Amino acid sequence: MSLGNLDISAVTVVNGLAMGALLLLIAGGLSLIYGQARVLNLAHGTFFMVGAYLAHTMMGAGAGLMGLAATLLVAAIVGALMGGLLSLAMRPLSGRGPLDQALVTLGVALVAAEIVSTIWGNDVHSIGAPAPFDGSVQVFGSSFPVYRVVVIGLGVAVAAAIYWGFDRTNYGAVIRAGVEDRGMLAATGRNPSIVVTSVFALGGALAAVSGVIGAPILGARPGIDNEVLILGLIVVVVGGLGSIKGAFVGAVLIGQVQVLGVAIMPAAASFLLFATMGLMLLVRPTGMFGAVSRRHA
Amino acid sequence: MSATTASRRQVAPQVQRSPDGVRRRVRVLLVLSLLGLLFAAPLLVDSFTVVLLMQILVFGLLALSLDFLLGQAGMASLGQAAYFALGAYTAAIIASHVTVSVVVGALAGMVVAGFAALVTGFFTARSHGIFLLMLTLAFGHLVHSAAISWTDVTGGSNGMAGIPRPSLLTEEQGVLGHDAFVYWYLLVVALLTYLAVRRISRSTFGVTLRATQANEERMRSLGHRTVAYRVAAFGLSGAIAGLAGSLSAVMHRFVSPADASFALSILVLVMVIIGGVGSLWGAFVGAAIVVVVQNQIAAFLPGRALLLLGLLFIVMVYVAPRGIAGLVAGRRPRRREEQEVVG
Repeated sequence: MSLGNLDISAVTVVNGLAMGALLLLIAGGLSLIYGQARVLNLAHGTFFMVGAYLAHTMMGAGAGLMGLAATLLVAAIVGALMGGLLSLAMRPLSGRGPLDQALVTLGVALVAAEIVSTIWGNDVHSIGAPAPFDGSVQVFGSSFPVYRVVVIGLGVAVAAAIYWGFDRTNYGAVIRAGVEDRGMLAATGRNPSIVVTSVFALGGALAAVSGVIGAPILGARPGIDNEVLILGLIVVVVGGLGSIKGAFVGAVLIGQVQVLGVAIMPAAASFLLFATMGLMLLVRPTGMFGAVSRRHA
Repeated sequence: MSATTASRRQVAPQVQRSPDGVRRRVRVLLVLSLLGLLFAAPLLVDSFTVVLLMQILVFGLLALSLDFLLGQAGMASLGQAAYFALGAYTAAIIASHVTVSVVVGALAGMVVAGFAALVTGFFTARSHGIFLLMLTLAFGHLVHSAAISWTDVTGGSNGMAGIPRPSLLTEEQGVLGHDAFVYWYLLVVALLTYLAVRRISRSTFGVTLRATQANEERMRSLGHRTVAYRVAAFGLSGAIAGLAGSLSAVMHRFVSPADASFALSILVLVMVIIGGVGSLWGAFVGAAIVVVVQNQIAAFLPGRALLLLGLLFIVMVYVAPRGIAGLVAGRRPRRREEQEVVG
């Protein structure tokens, strides 16, 4: 998961911010589904992979702003459908404890990876940045791809949208109410199952969209699903499960660790990531902004 | 059938004695004939099937280690391959540099993997659910990267090939010169380990683990050192996985970073779930199904083994959450506590 060879400099930090923004998009959906539906979605990386391959199909030959917008729209719809279907698959298991649900998402990930490789093959595809953003800018005296600046912007925008959506809108209040007390939410005339399905759809859409956005950086290739899932899990574990604020801080931190690790000692980059997570869990067993009670996890 | 037997037993236990005795005798007969077949296998089937059986024994033992951890202690691990690899590499290094004796290799593999599991268990035993999954996943990745980057010892991504021919005692005495001997060695080790794990699961320690899984707070308030039990379970599970790894090194005479991969950890989890969590023998059934699907059925559908396994895995979670072992044991209503596996 190299972001290219770079000297350690201020550019590395900016690069880390771009990685962090991408991680935020990935971890945001993961944290959303865990926080609001209490399901650990191990198929999240698969949704990302589908988005990345959609980007390969629709933007592989080069795309402009319209092409990017169309791809994002298609990915959002496909991702929402996949997420919605997954939530329907979770319903028969609602009385069964968290492991069974996580296991089904794991099974879905295994099956879906095979289907993706049937459709798109096993080749590694790198995808160019869409036309308006394929140049570079001067950052601290070095040239830096414009696209990564755009990704940083997108990450901040999505983070703000999620935060605003959950804290300030009626829909956000309904979702939070569903987590607190499903029975009470049902008593207000809303269907908790539909609320949960909408959360899954939103999380799935977010994952597929982040796949499109991340494709020019990470590429579309077999195995990207697991890499992305693991990175996303690290972010939410460091930040605190189910906390959007935690996902934000976790993503920025892990983005820096990842990029600095690759720049300083490429062989040990994954060591650094897991060491960061291990340290965080030892100091705060529920992550930076995790709930104090461990019984939820 | 078994449901009626169970309910009638509660009403009138003395009436039930003779059919129960018949059932037990039938079961003993079945087990004995299966064992007989397993021991006679190298004489009955071709060498390819013997290799397949060896693979099942090795993976079955690895699945047994996870089944013990998950079924008894309620701790799910996504890094079980790490301990497997530690055992495999230890056995390979011992065989290449110290002695060809498989007994020494197996013991060393168990000790190294078990010790590593105790150390990781010290950190992970306080964690539950996804945090436990992540910590075990992290350790798995650590071992995997170590296997790749510590080239001097592990041979890097090429692994270690050409491990000397295994022997029970020394280079002259008890050489396992034929695949059949290796097979019998694996069979005996797997059988003994299975019996030992079954004994442990039925001991006070096993009961305490299951009770801790059911309600850790209550166990703690009763004065039990629950974290110590969980660490011990983790260490034992790691030692068994290490033993399985040493068998893998003996069988293939080759170890590679693939032995520590995330994919293997997932595959082991699939075996345990298909076989049936908590049954112990189901681990071997799950391993058999995974190995057969990967090697036999996949021949008709090239490259689609994971698709089949994934579908089977999903279907099992829905219709048979207690796996094949649960199907065999019948539809007896299980205690609620055993469903909540993530502790």
